[in-house]
Amino acid sequence: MTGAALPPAVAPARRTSRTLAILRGLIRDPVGCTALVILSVVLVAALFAPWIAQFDPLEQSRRMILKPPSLTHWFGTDDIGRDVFSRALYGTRVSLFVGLMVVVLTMSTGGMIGMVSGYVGGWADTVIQRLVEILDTVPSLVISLFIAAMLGPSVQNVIIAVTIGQFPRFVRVIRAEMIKVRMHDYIAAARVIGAPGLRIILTHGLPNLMPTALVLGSLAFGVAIMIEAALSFLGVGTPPPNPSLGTMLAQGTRFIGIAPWLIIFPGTMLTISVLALNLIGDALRDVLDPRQR
Amino acid sequence: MLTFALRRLVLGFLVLIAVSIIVFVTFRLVPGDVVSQQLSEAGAVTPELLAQKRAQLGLDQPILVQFTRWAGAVLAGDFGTSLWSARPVFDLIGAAVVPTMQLAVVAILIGLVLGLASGVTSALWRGTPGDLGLRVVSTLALAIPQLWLGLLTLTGLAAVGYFIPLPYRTFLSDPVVNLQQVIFPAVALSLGVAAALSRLTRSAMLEVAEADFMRAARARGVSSATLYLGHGLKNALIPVITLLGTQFGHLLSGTVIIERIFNIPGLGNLLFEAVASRDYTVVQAAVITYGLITIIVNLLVDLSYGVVDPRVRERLS
Repeated sequence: MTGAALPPAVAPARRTSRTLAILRGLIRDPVGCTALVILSVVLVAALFAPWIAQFDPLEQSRRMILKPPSLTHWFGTDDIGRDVFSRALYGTRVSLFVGLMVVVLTMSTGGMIGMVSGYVGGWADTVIQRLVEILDTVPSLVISLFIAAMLGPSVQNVIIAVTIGQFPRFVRVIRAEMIKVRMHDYIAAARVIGAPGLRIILTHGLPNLMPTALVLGSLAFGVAIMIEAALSFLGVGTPPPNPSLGTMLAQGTRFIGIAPWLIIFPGTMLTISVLALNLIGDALRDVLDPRQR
Repeated sequence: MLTFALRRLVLGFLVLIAVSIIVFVTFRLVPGDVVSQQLSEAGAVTPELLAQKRAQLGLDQPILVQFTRWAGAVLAGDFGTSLWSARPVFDLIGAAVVPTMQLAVVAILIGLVLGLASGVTSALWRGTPGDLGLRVVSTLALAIPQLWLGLLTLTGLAAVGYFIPLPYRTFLSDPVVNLQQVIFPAVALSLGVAAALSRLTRSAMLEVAEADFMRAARARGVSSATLYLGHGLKNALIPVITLLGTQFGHLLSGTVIIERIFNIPGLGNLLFEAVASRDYTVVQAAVITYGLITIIVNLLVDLSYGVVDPRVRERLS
């Protein structure tokens, strides 16, 4: 673990070029390139949903009940005549929004707690690790289900519930990385010249932990989307009438064998989003950490 | 080895106490309790009735009193009765744990077999289209949410005109029906485990393949199969066991969803219904049971390192 082993892209001085280098690496990597293409398609579909969807996702039609996919209704219609394609687009939008917020929250809170815990060590570290261990003992979906049900169904509460279920892992991994980084000479040097702990963490720790955090973040994004769908499926997630992929799937369970398109299309959107994020995570790992190749 | 196991057990017990305190406090900090829910469902909410019912259930006492009372009873082996159905919580949990554990164990076994087979094959076929195909499949399987996989299984079964028999039967009462009910959800649960395992086994096998003892064995003329399975896989097992431990947690998360989809009266279904009706006693016991299962699995994982690797055994004793 000397400077030579670190990825060359991590030159703290030039920040913009580093972001560019990571992007360039992703595009050159065949897996990363595919993932970027898929993710941009999903992002465009979600962001421009109001322009792409030909129907209002909440508009009901008594004459179009449970119609199979057709040229006007690409993904068919549901039991009260709503257009499944439009609903799936808006649902993806909710999924991506929740996922993004969860990642931002886990990366900032979990990342900060992990860095401090790893840098400070001692009793603070012990206390934090024991707390993480307690959260880790209960399956993350059980935690999220419990919290979401306690707080009541709303998008904001889903974000909180998923974040609490996800951040123990983040704290654990970032802490372990921080302990490795702490051993480096330049940290000792910074300490010797009297730099305060917080500054050392932010200016020396953070840049070195970014690769790990990015990989972890993109994988957590996918997991967050899956858990949001699961919570909505169970009825404690995104509240109706907001279209959410999980609620759409729950609705589809009542028509299994009659209207398979209610299951197939929302699930496909869900899987494609998760797949793109997982692939980006894989590709980022390769790009940022050439040792593993 | 024994002291190590005992120390882990004591630690696990402390963690469980902490979990129950957190659950207990969270539940009481949030507005809306089982009494108002029950009464509003009955359509008769008067302040006097609410107060009377709360006093009867001990909900009007301070949190600390409630907790010590509850914890004391639990230590004596009494988990109380469900606030909703008035049945003993211990019986409810006991009945629900069996289907969940059966599902999880069958799923992990299927995942183990599929994952190891595909990982080893992938490593042996390194760089060929077969290897690529297996890797693509496992990447896909990792991205498919268990929720969707379960629903797709039901859709597919309905399409071929097969319907899983209902209601649920335990293995002891009716093994044939039980297996029909368990095998499909177990497969849906196992694919994620299999995929993660396959990727890990592949890279662990490839790493071991470079080791000197493998070259030496090959030079001695050990056959390819013995070489990879006897020497390679055996040495790649440690990370595989670690992964199985972490995957078991995901699997338990998955059972909550899968049990709902496939109508299996397990711990997940019980927890879900109890949370929805604010049935404190059942929720507490269910969360603690999940914790207990995780702690036992983690202990087994730690102990099995010693079984697989003599170096670990020596260090522990």
